[in-house]
Amino acid sequence: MSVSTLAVASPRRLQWIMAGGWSLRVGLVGFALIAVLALLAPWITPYDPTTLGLAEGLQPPSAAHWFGTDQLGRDILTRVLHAARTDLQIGTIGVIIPLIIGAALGLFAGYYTGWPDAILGRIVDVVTAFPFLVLVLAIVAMLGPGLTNFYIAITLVSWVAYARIVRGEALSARGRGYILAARSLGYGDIRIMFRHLLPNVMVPAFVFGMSDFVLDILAGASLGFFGLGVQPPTPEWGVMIAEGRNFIITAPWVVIFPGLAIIVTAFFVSLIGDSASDIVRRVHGS
Amino acid sequence: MARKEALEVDRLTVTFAREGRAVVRNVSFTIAPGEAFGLVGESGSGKSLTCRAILRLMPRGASIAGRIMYGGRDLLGLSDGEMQALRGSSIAMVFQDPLTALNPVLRVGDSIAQVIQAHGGLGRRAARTRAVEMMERVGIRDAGRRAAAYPHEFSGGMRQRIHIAMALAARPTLLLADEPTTALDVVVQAEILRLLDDLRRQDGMSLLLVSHDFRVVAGLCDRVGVMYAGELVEVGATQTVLRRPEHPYTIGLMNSLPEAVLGERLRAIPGSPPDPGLLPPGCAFAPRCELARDSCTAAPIAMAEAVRGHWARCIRRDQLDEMRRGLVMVGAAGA
Amino acid sequence: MLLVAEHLTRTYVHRRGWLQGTGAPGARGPVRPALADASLSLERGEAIGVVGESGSGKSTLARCLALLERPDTGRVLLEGVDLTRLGRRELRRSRRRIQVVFQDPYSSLNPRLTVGSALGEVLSVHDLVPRDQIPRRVETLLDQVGLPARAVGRYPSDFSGGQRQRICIARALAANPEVLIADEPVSALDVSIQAQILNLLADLRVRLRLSMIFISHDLYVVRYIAPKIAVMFGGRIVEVLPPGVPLEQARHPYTEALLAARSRLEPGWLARTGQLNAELAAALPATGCPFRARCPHASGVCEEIDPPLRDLGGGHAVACHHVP
Repeated sequence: MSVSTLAVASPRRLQWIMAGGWSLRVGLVGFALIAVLALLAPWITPYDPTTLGLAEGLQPPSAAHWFGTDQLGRDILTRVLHAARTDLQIGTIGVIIPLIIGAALGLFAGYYTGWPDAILGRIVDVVTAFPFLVLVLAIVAMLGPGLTNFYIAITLVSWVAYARIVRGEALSARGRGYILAARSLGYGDIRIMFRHLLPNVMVPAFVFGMSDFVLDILAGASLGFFGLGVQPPTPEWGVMIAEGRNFIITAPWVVIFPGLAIIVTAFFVSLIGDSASDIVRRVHGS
Repeated sequence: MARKEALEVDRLTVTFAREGRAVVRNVSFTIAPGEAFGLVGESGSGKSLTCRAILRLMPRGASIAGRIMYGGRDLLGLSDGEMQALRGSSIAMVFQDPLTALNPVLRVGDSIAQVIQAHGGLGRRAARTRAVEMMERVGIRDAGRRAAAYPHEFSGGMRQRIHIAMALAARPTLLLADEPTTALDVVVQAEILRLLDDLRRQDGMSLLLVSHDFRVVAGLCDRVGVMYAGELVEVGATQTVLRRPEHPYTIGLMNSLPEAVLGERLRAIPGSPPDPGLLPPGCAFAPRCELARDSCTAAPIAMAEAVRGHWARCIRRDQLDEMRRGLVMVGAAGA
Repeated sequence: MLLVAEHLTRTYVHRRGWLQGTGAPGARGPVRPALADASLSLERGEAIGVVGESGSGKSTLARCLALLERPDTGRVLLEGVDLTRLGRRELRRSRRRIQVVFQDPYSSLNPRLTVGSALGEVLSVHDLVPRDQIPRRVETLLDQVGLPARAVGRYPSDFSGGQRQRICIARALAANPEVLIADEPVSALDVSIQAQILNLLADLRVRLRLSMIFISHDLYVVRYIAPKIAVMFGGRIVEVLPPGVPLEQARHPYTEALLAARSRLEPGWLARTGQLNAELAAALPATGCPFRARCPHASGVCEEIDPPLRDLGGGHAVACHHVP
């Protein structure tokens, strides 16, 4: 069905990366670095993340413990790196699944309008009437704590944001000349929606996804306060901060390092998101 | 109160320094008091920027060089404040889209009255009376009542009339019109052009009419200038330029119109207008010109006077008879 | 007869809102149809021109002929088959046979598809060429419209307006249509490029023996491509000029007004133009002849009865009470 038999002048992916400029490259490299560190965590960390009382609790950073130790004597560096595996997973899955579901529904609603749009609109209204965290908490409370239930809850709540974004873009794009041309060429609705409309409406959803990535990590932390998120002793940045909140004054490193991890990850992710619209503009014109 | 002055544009050059392109290059022409001058060109010719340069309404990054003399002063040398005082009062502009000037949330009478008050020192009531007068002048019936309406309640042609009313409200001596009729239907176009012509004659105002359509300019302009790639390539009285064009591009433009080659095949100019950043030295039209020779691109070509007052920037003018032969000349056929 | 449109009518109904369009806001009363009782027939290899301004119904007619919209009443017959009765799937397949070139080349091309992908998609969706033959056919199409082969890998944003319009034409040709509808294909282009595209369309018509419907607001441009012309006003076809009849012999008051008011290459033509009445009534009258508000010959009967299109002989038809 695709026409990949035709040669393209320059490889498309390469063209994109070139057009992204420094923000894209720094963002990609930074994120890749974190991902690699996370992947290799079990082999490169000096200690085990769950070993208790290796030393006295709350030791400041030293040669033996680069990031210091937390209140239970666990090595923070080890925990931060292991937590990266959990958090990157939370961010990724927490974005991809809602994005796919929300974008598909938004696309249908925006393309067909009429009653599909009306129904979607009502559902979106209901879900957004509740504050995001309250709803997530309620669902997790009903289903029970744990990562899987966390994902279910996030998906059930986050998809509406993507649906809204994609629906709005689709509504405005469906009237454009090339969509009319596609209809006149006898293309079916599915083809028009996915091959012609979708690529042109995805970018804002993608950019939102980048910030959603971080929001999901923070949501995990909030759930940690209530013991409804990742269960101890599994390390997770947000939970590490939540558990260390009593020691902010006395042993700030307990909170600083996981906090920095979130900030740095968010920074690289947002660089990628920022460059997305630039890329589209440079490669395809405005 | 306002004297009628000639506008003299002298070697006007507009450059976008960052991109290194000169989009208007050494353009010089004069508009006598009360005269209508037409500037014709396609996209990229620089005609709109030339027009805007007179009012110094330039986009960011543009730098202007040269002189624009009006009322004994060089407009390019004026301060922002002095320029601001000129805009709307001595020199006014009409755009292609009247919604550029018409605030959609203001009643049209108020929009016009605002202009009057800003420049005339008239009180609110007097300004409103004058606004209604202006609306009547531009042919809007029942003006007193319609002045209370909003722009969206008017058709395109009516909106353009209101836009013209705003432009003329402060009695300028020079009116710049940048594609004022391009978005309008055929018959409405003619009406708006007729309006501009009538108003001009009544007030003795000078008019600069910019258009991509030669025919529009032919209707009411005494003199016409043809622009290509930022340069003026031909200038002269409309009659003489149309009867006997002296530049291959002008002939090419005329040859592109079905009515000018009645029944014959259109002799389209091959290629496309050039990128202002990649111009060869010498004649910018040479790559598309069937008469081009090496001498055309070797060095810049100067304007040469073909007949008194009729200038053309071409060194191959003696070869133009063949190109002109196919043209159905004016008045010879087809009303 | 290849394509026949019979008594097409289409009315756009706006839900009552506070914005009622130009004229008196809040006005009630019958809304004039965008297209009223329009009939047209196109023979194989023939070219018909449609002339009209904004609001004349020419674009609605084009959309109904191309089946992009369903007319409220009337039929569109392609080789005798009533397209308005077809189910969705057959309709989609029939669409291939009637292709459209739209006015705006900038928005008519998907910015995310390369030229090659866009053209190839047409070929593969309609199974017009075996898969391995697609690249070659695409090259041929590009050549037919005067574009270089390396355009295949480029995006529309790399091209100028005239070139983009060529791509649109190539895309329409890729479907191997029997009818090509060109809706103001050159209005958005520079004058010198317009001539190139007009020549291209005229050439393609001859070489590929395409039947064509060419729509424009410019009478002379239309005549250049199509010897037979239908003039539209207010949703109706008000005059049909057959090939032999020169434009100057038009009889309908609107066509006469168009000819009198159009811009031309004569110096000072404006001063020689007579009375123009375009703006006396921007809104169309609800009953009777749509042109009566602007017509110098309007009389009582014009108010009541919408004049039918009558043949004056030799294919020249006029819809006016005052033309004998």
